[in-house]
Amino acid sequence: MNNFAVPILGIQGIMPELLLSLAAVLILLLEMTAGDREGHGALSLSVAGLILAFIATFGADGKQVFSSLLVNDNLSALLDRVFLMAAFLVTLVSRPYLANYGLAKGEFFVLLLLATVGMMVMGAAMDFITMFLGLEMLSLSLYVLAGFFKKDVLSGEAAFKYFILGAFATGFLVFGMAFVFGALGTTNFAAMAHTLSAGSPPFPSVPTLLFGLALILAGLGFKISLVPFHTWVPDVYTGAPTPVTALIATGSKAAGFAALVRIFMITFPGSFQFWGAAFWWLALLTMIVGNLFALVQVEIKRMFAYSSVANGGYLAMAFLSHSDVGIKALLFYLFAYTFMTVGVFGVVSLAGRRERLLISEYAGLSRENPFLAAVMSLFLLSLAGMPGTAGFFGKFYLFAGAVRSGYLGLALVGILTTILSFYYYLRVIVYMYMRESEMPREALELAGSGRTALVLAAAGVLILGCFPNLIWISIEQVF
Amino acid sequence: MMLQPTLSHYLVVSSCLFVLGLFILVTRRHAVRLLMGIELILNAANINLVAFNHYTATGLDGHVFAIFVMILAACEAAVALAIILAIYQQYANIDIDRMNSMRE
Amino acid sequence: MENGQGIITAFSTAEPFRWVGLVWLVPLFPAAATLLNGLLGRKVIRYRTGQLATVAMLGALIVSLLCIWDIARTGQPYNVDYFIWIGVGDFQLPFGFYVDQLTAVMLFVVSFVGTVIFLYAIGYMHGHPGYWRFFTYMPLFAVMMFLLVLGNSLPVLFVGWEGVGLCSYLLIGYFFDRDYAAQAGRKAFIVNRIGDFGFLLGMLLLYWTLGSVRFTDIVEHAPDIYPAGSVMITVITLLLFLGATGKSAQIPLFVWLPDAMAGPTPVSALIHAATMVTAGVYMIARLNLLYSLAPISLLVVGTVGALTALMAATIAFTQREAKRILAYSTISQLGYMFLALGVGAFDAGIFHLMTHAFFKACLFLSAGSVLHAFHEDRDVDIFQAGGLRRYMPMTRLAFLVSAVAIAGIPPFAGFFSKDEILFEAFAGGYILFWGIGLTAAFCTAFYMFRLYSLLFSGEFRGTEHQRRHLHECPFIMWFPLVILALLSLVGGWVNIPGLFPKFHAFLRPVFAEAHELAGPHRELAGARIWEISLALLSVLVALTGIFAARLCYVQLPKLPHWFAETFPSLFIASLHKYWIDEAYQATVVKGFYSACRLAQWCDNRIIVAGLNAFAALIRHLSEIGTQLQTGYVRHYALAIVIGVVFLLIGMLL
Repeated sequence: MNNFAVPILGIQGIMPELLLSLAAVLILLLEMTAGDREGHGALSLSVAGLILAFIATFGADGKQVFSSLLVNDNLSALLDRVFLMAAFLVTLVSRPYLANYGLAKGEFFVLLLLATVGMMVMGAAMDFITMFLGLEMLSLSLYVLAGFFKKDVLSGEAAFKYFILGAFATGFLVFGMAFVFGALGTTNFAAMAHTLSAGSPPFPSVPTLLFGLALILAGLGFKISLVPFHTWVPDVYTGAPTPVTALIATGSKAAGFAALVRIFMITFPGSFQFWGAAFWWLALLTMIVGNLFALVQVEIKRMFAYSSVANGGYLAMAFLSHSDVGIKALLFYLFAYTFMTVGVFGVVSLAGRRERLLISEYAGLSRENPFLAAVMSLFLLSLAGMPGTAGFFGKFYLFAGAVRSGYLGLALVGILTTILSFYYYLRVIVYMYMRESEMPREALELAGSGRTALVLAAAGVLILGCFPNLIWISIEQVF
Repeated sequence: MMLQPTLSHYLVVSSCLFVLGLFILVTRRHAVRLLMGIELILNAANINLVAFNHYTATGLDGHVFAIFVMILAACEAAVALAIILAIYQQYANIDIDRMNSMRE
Repeated sequence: MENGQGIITAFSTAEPFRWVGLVWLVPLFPAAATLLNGLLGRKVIRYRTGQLATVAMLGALIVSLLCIWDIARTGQPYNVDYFIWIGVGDFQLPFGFYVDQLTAVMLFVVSFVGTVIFLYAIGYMHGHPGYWRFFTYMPLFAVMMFLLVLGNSLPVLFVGWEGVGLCSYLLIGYFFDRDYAAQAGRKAFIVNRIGDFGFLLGMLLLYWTLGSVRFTDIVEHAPDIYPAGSVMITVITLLLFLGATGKSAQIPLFVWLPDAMAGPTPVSALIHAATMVTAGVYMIARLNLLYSLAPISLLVVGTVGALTALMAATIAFTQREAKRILAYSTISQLGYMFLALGVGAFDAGIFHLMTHAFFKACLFLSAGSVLHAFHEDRDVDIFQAGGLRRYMPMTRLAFLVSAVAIAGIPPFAGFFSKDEILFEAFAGGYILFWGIGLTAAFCTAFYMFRLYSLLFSGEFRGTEHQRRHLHECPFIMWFPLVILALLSLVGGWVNIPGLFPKFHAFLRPVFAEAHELAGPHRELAGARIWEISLALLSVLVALTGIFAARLCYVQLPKLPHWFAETFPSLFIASLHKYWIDEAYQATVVKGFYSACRLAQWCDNRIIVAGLNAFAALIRHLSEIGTQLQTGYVRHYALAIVIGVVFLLIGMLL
């Protein structure tokens, strides 16, 4: 009964989430009262909320709050920083992007903040209930954001596909959670781990538990877009407003991995022998399919969609290595991946008043706006794993971790597919610098906050590329 | 003599609902029907949660979870209907097969 | 040595204060200049970027001098780790600096020559478009060069190594709107990648077998791990040497340096004569212990050095452009340095590196001042010049002093360093190397005074229009010339064998262990007599070269023509640089292009066709799918179901 006696108030434990929610409410109020047409007020409030929340993540004390529903440890704090950074950069890119379409409304920023809160709850969840709650907050906000351009056919289609398939995957997830609950009699992770370590019931004898875990893996596999759960990715990434795509590709995927780590690495470390083999195949397929399909794309967002699938495969490989080194590599790559992915989608968002959808439309960008072309090249080189960029150390840690855990074959496929990926990344650079545009365009001006976002992302890529230890030190503290 | 329902009875019912939901999602064309399929899947999970709580667990975790699932299912339905409405204004139709303007 | 081996924590209070602890300021000054000039140069600082960069270099020079003074005073090397740079599990690589006597010499060369050349460049680059860009790249180059000489592990050195390469590429292509400059930049870039590949591979092998790439660890463990002459150490040192041949323009990778003269002259002086191209020499001197464990590699280094010295010097005979001749001269002098390293005389090699930095920088800057008078960016045809001594007396004086220095006439700097290399080769029993070196010394004196005579003696042979514009360079340009000329005179006096061998005494701790390993070959019976007579011989040879050149190009101008007509094959071979560029063109470049064409063909035929087939397959499958199913969302949902089934089977069975 102790659980229900007095819920321990842990306001300080959810400070970042509270700050973001507060900012969201304030934006709504502002929208109602002052009529913030251009979205400047919403942008400032979001930025303030995100920065304050980022500062608040440094108060992690490792305690569980709200009757062990959430935990406030180093892992959740680190993940919070990934989410907040992604949201911060996306917010900065969003306003000029939306202003181009005359749609810079407050509710976009509200939904963005709430999606971030959802990710953070997912990352800190110590209970199936909170994890589900976080997932739904995240997903529902993203469904609406994906369909934010109501007049746009593609946006609506993306929202609908995302919704149907996302809800479908959530169905699997909840169904699986119900079975795990049935096998262990509790929804709390700590209690589950305790029940298991007490030896009753031993792992292999509980098919219910395994059945449940398999369904959970499938549900989360949708979020991290493992093949064959990736089918929604190209359509949704292409149709959704580009900043939203950036958030789906980074924050949402990171949240999926956060949940995977919480459940499969921390709560059920012994389950590895059951899911390891199947997951190996999924990681392999994901790397191959993602890179292979990206090769033939002519639309830039679709190409990056498949590239994002491929990167999910690399992350899955790190997750599979099932060791401290692997998880640390995963966390590092999440940071690197966030910077470079938000970077490329940021450039796509801002490369013109109307978006350039085809890769060939990027011809001559280096003349119209050398800054955009330069940072785009940096992000692309980082995605390709050039030394001196974040992507290099990200991949280095990933492959080193995989080799150390004995996944030589997987690492080899990873390296081969990485080499394959040079082709489609460098192709964009070739277009930007070596081809002339067929119809001459005028020089391109960049709005202030968009430029700031790109500079920050580029700085992140370079700093991580030159001094990986700045992040690595805080990653070392996680375990 | 009355048949006493056991855990497996509930599991059979929920599994049937789950498979029905799956079937609807994979075969139907009408957007609102897909929504119904999703509701079926979530309700199958709810039945499981409540049944497991009744038969195997001691606390109230399952019940609480089920209530949360219901609430969020309602939210999902609201969002989904809004999206479907937006699409209806575009296509004047909610046949999901029309929605394939993006492909390889 | 033993005191410097342990890791001294940065800024630790337990250690007594040492001036060398300020060494982190050295790269910081130019870094600040790069940052300021890069961000504000175009719009705010504009023509003060040059002054800013020069002041920053001066700051670096002052701190360097403090560090050098500290090292000379205490004699203790200084090793410091600033932070963990890369760390994965048990692989911890700190980013840190290591300062010992060798570093001190390099620090002095880079910061001093750098400062002087920056000063010169203020005048030389005046009025060029992209002035601020030039003074953004130049301090960046200085930062990278400082990293290269200061790094306390091979990866830090490699960062500097790649960094100077990048800056060199950017500065060669400074006039990027001109085709030859862009092409020269690309050539340097590609040739250096070949060398870097070897360097990287050598570094990886070293890490794999030794377990560390830090210099202190290498010194400590290498003799225990690699038996002298073992295959592994030979392979490692040869791979690293491949990197050195790329950066220091030795056979077979020297072809990029003459083309690199497409960059502005201060760049040629600083990067392609005084500092960057000596990085290979520095690297081998730094790893002297490894090389002394691998006698075969040392022999290869010496052979390559000797052959390069001779070959480049003979090519310089027939070239027509001033900077190009100086470029071949640089290659030849670098060959001398490698020859010194190869015979185990590391200190002599470093000594020559230093004196060469002085007189070669001076030669380049004088040539730059001639170019300046001709209003020419690229190079000047020496047969269209002549008689310049009347128009530019200061330049002529500086050029003459440094030409005498490089020819090896006492008491100029080049005599001491070059003669010592020849003596060490002779004393070590490498008579063949000594012979080649002596021949090359004759060639050096000859081509240098051919250049001098054609530029400054006789009558002016250019157009009347050019003649009217000839003028001495401004003070800001000839003042650096004077400083460098002065150093070309006195720079060698720091090491006068027998009387004042300070330089070697200073460097001794660095190379002591290697000398011990290399064996006691340095005891030559009656060494003093030998030394003096050999020195006399080389002076004689140099004087012969000078007089031959004066004879050919001042007294009897017909003589070269007669020579060229009598021995046409020799003349033409030298003129065409032994067809090495053509050979590369025919083999490597052609091969590369064919490989590209093959790849393109594969791309078109195999990859695209394969992908088309694959895409067609997918399309076909999905068409079948569409006939069975009815829409895409359901198709996607089905994929998810298939995935779930796969996972369930995988986990439950």
